[in-house]
Amino acid sequence: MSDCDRVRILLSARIDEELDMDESKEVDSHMATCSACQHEWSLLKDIDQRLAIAIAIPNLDSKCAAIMEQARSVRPPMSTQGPSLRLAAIATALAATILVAMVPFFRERKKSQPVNPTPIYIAQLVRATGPVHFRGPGEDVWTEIGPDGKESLIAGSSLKTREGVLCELHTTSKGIIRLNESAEVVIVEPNQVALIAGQLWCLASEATSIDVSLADDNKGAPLSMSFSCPRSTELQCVAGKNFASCDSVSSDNSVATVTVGSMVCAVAPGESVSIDREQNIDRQMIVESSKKVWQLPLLAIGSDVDQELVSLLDRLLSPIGMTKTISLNEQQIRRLGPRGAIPLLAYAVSEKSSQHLPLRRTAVRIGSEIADQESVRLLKLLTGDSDAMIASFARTALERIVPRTVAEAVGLSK
Amino acid sequence: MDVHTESTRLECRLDVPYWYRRVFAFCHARLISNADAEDATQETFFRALDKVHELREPAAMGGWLRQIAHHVCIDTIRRHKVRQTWPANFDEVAGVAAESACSRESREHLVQLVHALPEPLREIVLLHYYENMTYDQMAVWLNVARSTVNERLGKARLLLKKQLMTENAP
Repeated sequence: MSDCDRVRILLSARIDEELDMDESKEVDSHMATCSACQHEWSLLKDIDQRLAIAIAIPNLDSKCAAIMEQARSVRPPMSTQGPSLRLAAIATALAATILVAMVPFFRERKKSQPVNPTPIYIAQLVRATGPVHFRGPGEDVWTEIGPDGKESLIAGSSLKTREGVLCELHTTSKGIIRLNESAEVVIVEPNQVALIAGQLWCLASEATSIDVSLADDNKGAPLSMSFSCPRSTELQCVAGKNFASCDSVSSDNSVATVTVGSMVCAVAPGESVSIDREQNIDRQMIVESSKKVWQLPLLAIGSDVDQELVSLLDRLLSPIGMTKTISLNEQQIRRLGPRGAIPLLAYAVSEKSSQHLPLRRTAVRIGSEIADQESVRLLKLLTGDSDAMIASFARTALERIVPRTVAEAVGLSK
Repeated sequence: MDVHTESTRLECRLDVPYWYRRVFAFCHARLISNADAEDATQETFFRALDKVHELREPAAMGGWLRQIAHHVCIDTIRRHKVRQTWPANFDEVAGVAAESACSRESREHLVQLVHALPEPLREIVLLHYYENMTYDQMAVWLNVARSTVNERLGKARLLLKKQLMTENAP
């Protein structure tokens, strides 16, 4: 690094007189002999002076006085009274002196005209297991987006999933967000999400963390809660009625944090932290993969089998038949109902290697028992499987699902 | 020190003038519009004044206020069509400015360029010029390292300089 490069890095802090004495001397002595750095200094100094003039808060005292005055009186809630009404109330309370102070404030508002109304998209809906409900910022009405819709979202957009529907978003900061059924979020920024209800999973990119805030329904409550998902980390967050929880669902995660009011708690990899309204904290170690069972139907969407689906099912199915985890993982998968059959059967269709045979058999055994009409295509493929047990499971399921006449027509009846 | 000051200030509950500028900078950086930022700042203090007696740790006042302001900003974004001035990228703002360079005041244009900065840089610029805090004070308020404050402010100024020079180039 040349002397000029080093000095230019220090110029901004030199303007603010934030360098130590040695650094200041170094910068000053270099500029005394370097016209290029002198020029750079004068440009930055000019910007500094212009910013100091341009960025100011007019009538600060009257604004603070208005807040204090309003706080002493009975305050109407923000949601039921618009800004202009609130300002009118303040003006009444403070009488003429404050009214005079407010005049430039209103003038200032008029200046805030749209400069660039072109919306900037910060996220996109990439897949869903059913219709998802969308609402733009400031809109009152929800719009339904079909499962194949690739809706682009601007800041402040809301998404809501109904029962049985999951969806996935990709943000412009390369984060991934998945919503469980009956969830609602607001996409505030590419790396900021407000969880209104339900459960979400997020994976932060290598470059940017993701902040998940919980909606503060009780407007006066001090319980402000947010989760910080560090870079390359995946978290699951739940906003319940009287609690919130955060699961660090990968052993590769960095330590995440939960901020509750003025308190900050660490969430270690593999740990689940649950917090109630009274700010009681409960910590538990979790089996990471079992926490992600709900995502299986979403991962099964698409013509090609998702490698993430294969990896997750490998981890979920391996313990089945080995330990007590059998009942936990199997029960959780069965709870998904017929929509849980598709990922299991898709996995069995795609993973042909002999080392996967025990897991494929487990997948087809469970899948064939919970499958419905939606799984017929996959079951038909599996009736021709080289493994007799898998083919038998599939035939049995088809005989249960497909009406006999149809089964005869496709040659499935014995 | 800032923490000491905060503890002292807490004796008179929540000192609104002491915190106003930095809360306003926080809201302005997120909502862009002056009017929305004004309303969000008011609402932040209303909520804080309601509950300040429940704050357990005086030194945590700054972080607590930021959390409240964060929620207020999210509520505002949810509820209204905010960002009348969208945080566009530099090229877009410069293009608009070029069309009406004669009629637009340079001060207003400079503020628009600040609005077009990435949010962390936008906030540090607004915080620095609204409040005139030291780097150490800004680091405490933002909960980042002092070096991060230095880096962000330096980067923001360089971006602004580069853009202004590009616009003024023949």
